[in-house]
Amino acid sequence: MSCEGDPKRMLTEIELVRQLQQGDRKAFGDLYELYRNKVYTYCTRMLADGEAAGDVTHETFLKAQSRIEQLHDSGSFKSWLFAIAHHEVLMDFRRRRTNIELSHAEGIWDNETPLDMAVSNEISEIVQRMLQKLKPEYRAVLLLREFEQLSYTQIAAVTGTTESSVKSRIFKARKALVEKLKPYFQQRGEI
Amino acid sequence: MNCEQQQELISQFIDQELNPKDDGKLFLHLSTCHECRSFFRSTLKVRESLRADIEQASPKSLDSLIQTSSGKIDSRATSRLSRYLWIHQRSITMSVRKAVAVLALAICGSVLLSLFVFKQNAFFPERKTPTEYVISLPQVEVVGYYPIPHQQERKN
Repeated sequence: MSCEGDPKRMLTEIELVRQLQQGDRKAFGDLYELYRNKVYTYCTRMLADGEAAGDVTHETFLKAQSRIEQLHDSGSFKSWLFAIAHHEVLMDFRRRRTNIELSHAEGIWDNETPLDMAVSNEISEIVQRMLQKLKPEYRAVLLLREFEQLSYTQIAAVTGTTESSVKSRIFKARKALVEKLKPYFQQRGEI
Repeated sequence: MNCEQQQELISQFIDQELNPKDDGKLFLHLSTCHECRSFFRSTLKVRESLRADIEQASPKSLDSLIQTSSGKIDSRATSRLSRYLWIHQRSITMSVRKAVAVLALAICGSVLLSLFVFKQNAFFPERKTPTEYVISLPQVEVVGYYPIPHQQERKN
């Protein structure tokens, strides 16, 4: 669950960020506890590699700790942390040279993914597999929206793009997923 | 507005990011368009399936790695800070005689320093450079000049 909707927890988070900015090491431990699984899950879904996701999560938290003074608005810690994680994920992509020209790429899919590639009958598993096949820039915005429930403004800040670009990418990603899954839904009589 | 644009509005509506003034137009379109209604239902289904996937727990090895690395960062930060705080936190122990001598030296040093800095002004007002006015008058030739008789007598 996102802690953004819970004012009590938000207050605690803001306090923790302030304490960390004042050099309290325990506050870092608490913030790490709060976000380690979220950041790790985001990295795993982006990279589809548990080991690499662990490394990127590690790097994300270390950078967050060393640059905490640069965070001026304590209330936007989550977006700030995910912005670091997103940047580290892109750096990992570049290191592995899997997708260098992220913003200039045409289309939505990383590779063509026919529905019959899906080996499971579980719809959620099929959707997850489809999600992995989306290009990183589309996958990132959809993950941040659906799992982290960030607003379009926050997603734009995390990914370093404009709000209108976020709107457009989320729509295109959804449309691409829906088009791929439509025959499956129709077959099962779900739509 | 075509179906593609309406479907973009559906996406924003699902995310609660649609401007409320566009709600009416969207629902009017949905009431007449089977294609867009189907997109709406499918998008909700995809969202439901995506959210069904649970959060993954980070590996335990990461926790210890973070603990070690963050400790290093912390100790680096502490040593950096301690460099700045050295003068404030350092305690010096010495005998009373030495302390008096150091104090006297410090006072003498500060007095000499202040004399050097202020010698032109407050402490040595008499050493102030006197102001000199240099006035040179042009030579004037007086036509028809005769010496005054009593001056001539004096000369004789």
